[in-house]
Amino acid sequence: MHVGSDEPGRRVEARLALQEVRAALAQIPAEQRMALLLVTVDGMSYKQAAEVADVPVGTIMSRLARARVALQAKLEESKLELGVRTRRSRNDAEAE
Amino acid sequence: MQKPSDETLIAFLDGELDANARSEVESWLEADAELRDYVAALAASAEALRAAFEPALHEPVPERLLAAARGTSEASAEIVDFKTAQKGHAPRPLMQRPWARFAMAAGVAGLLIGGGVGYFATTGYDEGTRAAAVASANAANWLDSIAGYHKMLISAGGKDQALVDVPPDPNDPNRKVVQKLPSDFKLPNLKPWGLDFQGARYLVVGGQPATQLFYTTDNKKLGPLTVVIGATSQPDVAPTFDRRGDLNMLYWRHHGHAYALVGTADIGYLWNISNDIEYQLDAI
Repeated sequence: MHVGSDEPGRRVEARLALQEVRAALAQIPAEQRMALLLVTVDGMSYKQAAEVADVPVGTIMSRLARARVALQAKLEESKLELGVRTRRSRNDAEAE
Repeated sequence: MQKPSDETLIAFLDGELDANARSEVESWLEADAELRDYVAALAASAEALRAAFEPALHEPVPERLLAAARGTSEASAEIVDFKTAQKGHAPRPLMQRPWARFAMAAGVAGLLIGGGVGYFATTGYDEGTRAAAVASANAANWLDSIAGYHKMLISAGGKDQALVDVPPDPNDPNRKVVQKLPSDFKLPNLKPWGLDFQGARYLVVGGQPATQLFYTTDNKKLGPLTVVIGATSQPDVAPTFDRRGDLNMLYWRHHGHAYALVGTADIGYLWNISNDIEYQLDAI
């Protein structure tokens, strides 16, 4: 395994990614968030997630689809906002 | 052949489609560049989500070493490897999932963080670590106390309202004196997990005030469950698993608060519920 001097940088990157994802997750309804955590983070099958949530597999599928589409859109938005902020600060720095 | 829905595309990425449906989606992807980009973006966001959780799953934390050391000296303490404990619903290997290939194709491999490190290091600690383990006895006592209270509530039948200081219904006519949770206390909503709040109890554990929240459910895989939120002067620590007898425990500390989940639920479930509580209480 590679353990190099970029480790602190990776930790910062990971923390930023976590914040961004957390902000996006917070805007997703609880039932959808649950499906997302069970399947996408925890790696459960749809059947297993349906058992935990005590709902039919079809419900997990639709909740998951709505959550994934919403997550993708929100992360895309935050990426754009971050880009604008970065450009602004770069322009400010150049203007000084 | 109809264009695949979002549900179908995501089930495709999650490896949940049968061979026929999978081949239909693949035909669509081959023919439609826009759809291909859309699926790649969905795969990338899922990968970002997983990557954001990777450090918490794999980062070796000194507290875990201490807990491992405690496990050698205390018969009641047992450190459980997260992945081993999860084997009841073991995640599928990364490359068996179509989204992994899409994520790579979309150039998001750079988002992958860490990985490959065991969740708990259970060997290799020295005498210094053992000494530190003795110093952390307070943390162990805190968990012992919480486990004890959880057992007491369970043996009382869970619905014995006399055992809770704060009933779930503040207008309960059977209670002469009804206490309420502080107005600034945010009660975790675990309804989506099928867990119903049954009441709260005020405790002092490890010399610090704490609130024990009790939840029950008909789903035997999940409940009953105790959530404890207390004050602490100890430094922050990432979610850590521990065990007391037949009880699984997951605890973490964040900005002066200590949190613990206790129950017989599978450790994987506790992990997911803790994630939800972390979001709700901003305690991550």
